[in-house]
Amino acid sequence: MDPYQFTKMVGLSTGEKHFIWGGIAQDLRSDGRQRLHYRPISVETGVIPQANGSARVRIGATDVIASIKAELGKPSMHQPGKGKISIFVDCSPTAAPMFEGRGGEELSTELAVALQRCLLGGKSGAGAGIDLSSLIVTEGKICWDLYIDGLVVSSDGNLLDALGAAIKAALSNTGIPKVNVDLGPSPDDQPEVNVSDEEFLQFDTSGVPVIVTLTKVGRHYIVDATSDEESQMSSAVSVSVNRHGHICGLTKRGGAGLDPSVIMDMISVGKHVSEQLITVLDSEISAAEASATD
Amino acid sequence: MMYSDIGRLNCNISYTTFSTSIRGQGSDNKEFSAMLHKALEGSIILESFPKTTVDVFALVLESGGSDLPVIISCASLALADAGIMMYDIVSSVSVTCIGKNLIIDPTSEEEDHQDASFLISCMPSRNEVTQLTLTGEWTTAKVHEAMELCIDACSKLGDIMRSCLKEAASTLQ
Repeated sequence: MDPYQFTKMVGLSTGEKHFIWGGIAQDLRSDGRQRLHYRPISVETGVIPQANGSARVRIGATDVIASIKAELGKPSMHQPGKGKISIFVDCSPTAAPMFEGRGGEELSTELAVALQRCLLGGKSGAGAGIDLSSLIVTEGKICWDLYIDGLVVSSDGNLLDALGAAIKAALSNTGIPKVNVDLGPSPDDQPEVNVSDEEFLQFDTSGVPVIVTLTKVGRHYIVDATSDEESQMSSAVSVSVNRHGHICGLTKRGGAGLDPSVIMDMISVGKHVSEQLITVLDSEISAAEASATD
Repeated sequence: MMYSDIGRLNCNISYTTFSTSIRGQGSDNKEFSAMLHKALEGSIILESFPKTTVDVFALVLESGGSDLPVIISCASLALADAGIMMYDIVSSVSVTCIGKNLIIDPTSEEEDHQDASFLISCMPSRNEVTQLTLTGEWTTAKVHEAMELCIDACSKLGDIMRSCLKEAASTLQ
């Protein structure tokens, strides 16, 4: 079962379906947008004081919060020179009644997996949006474990793009405390750790990609689909693209098959759209940061 | 369960405890199961069996890299063998990128050192991609190269799968 169907429990009449299809075919969607236009995006940073960094992103009626917590941990045996990042997503029952209890679990895992794929790069860490070696405190002994939690507060389609944007904004808002480590005289000693609560290190978020989802409805594809539009999709491709125009991850959902040439076309369109999205997001994030420090 | 006028597909992948070099370290089955579901659902004519569920269970006996593509191709063959109506068989191939080199059908060691990965499952006769995932940093040219490599491999694998089915059918007669 497609977990996305929970978000698209929209009962559309035949007339409404035709209206959506016809609008997309004529490049004028129900809310007046063109096929490759995003809804207005608003970003708010520092919404959760308890976290090391947080952000809330609203795209139309879609509302998500990302929070980032850093905890000291031990690097894994295989990669002693790298920190760890885990991404979780939670769908709040306020977004849709179906998310009550275990209802949103399947969608949550799917979103979390897609985000991991899009943000964390390959197994060796190459191409990751966040440099894992910057999270190391003492090689092989102490590192930062970064917990990224996404929360879907309200859902009106395009959750993955919104979560990606929220994580990007939250990371730029994140301060990692400076750590002083006092290594004992012998290498087996437990090192003494001193976490500063005054000095913070900022993250380099320039490499964090944005996610663009192209939803195929009929013969055309659109960006930033609302849940009404998502209910009419045959398949969707999410591409994550970084500042250099490199593709950092890709996932496809929806049952219908796609011609390889269509996929290549979607990738290049996604790349093009991502340039505008990065510009919009960057200015929104810096505006949010500026208003937060005021 | 709710009434459905199309068939349902249910996929489950599990690993034996001895399938990996470290005991009981089988990969995240839930994620794999979802991927298997997505790769197969587009190929099955679900309309042909309403009110019915098809269960696909995959058990990995020995994990030696490229697990998921093998599982997908294998499950598709099993569905064909079961006589489930399908548009086409699904063949799946993965590619790993280490440095500048593309390696098709990587082993576990190669997967552990991968900089980027690319997995595709497609229906060769219809030339349709049912599932595609990509991790790591890629340029468009490289994606194109990997895609062509994989599509070509998928169609070759599809031919092998087809002849295997024919052989099984002829020995039955």
